[in-house]
Amino acid sequence: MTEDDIVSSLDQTRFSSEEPLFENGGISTSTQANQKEEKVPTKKPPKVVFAFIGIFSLMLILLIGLMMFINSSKKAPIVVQPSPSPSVIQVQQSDQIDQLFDELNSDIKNADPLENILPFPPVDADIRITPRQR
Amino acid sequence: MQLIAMLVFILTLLFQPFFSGKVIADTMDPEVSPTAEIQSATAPVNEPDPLDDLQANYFDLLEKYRQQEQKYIVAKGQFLQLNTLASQEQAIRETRTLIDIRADIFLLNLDMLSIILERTTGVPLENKSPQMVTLTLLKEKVQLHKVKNAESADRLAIDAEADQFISLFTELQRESYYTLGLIRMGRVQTAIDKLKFVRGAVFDHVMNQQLPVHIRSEKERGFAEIDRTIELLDQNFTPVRQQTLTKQNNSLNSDTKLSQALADTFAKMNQTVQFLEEIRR
Repeated sequence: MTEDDIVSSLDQTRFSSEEPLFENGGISTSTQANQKEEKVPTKKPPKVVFAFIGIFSLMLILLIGLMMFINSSKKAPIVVQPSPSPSVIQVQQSDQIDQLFDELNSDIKNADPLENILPFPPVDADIRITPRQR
Repeated sequence: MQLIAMLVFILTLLFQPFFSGKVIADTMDPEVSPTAEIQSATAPVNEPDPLDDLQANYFDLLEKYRQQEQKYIVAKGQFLQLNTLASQEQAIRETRTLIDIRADIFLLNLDMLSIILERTTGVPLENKSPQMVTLTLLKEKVQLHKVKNAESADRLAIDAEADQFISLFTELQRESYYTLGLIRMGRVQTAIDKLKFVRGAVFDHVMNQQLPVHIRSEKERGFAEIDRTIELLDQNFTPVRQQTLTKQNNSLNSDTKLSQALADTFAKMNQTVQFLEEIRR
């Protein structure tokens, strides 16, 4: 190793493969693009966006939870005294009796003695030309 | 970007039930059945009641009778005053027309009475059938009177037929009031029969329920009261029914008395219905 090599190896400001520019006609374009690509770093989203998304999601979950709670509280009936539900047969009987009462009321109304069913025709019994001899 | 896409996906999953439910609710309208129009179009139309037509014609004829009666009175008065052939002709025409309308009125009245009696339940068959025949015979007699009136050539024939009609008129009056009595009695009998049936149905319904002992006793006392009222009702109605069936109601006076006699029965029936509705609750 020559003295120049030793000096160049100690020189921390220069890369070993670095060549002075424009001595050999410059670097080729493909090589330049690759180098540019290699040089552009991946852009990370700022931390503010993450925070916003997180807060929004949390608020949304809280809102959904609140709506579900309100619905469940509305649906919950206030039970004062539980009563046994009537059986199907009892309900049918009740409907039949309602109908019987309707028919009965209709029959009674029909039987009203004050109703003038069909009055006798209000006509003259004696229609003649010459008066009757009395 | 991927995070935003994921967030949108999660939101869609969460809200999907709400949106889909709303769409289904909109498409299914329970109030309007798709078969409603078809059912209404194919539903049977109620047949017109012949009694309504008869009643309408009856009132029209009565109006016509009133108008013709005025003409008859004027023409008769002119003849009696003037005593001319022309006035006599006019009097004959107006009298004949009035008698004809009167006959039509009686024919319609008998038709309506027959239909109403036929429809009335609660009348024993041994009373209903003979009365239907009687009404038919009366119709034939009135029809004959109508024909004789049309054939009457002069005033003497008209007056002779008028004398014959007096006895027919009395018969018409008697049978009409008897028929009305049967109809009234039949309707009350039908109501009493239905009342007893409903009493039985309510008793079964109430006693089949699981009731506490003190409430069951209360209900039983209520039914005992109802039974007493029904018994009183029967006691009131039986003599009235018998009187009607034996043809004792055959005048306006007797028809009025029958209505008064049935008033007490009618009141007790209404009271019993109220008791039944109370006990059912």
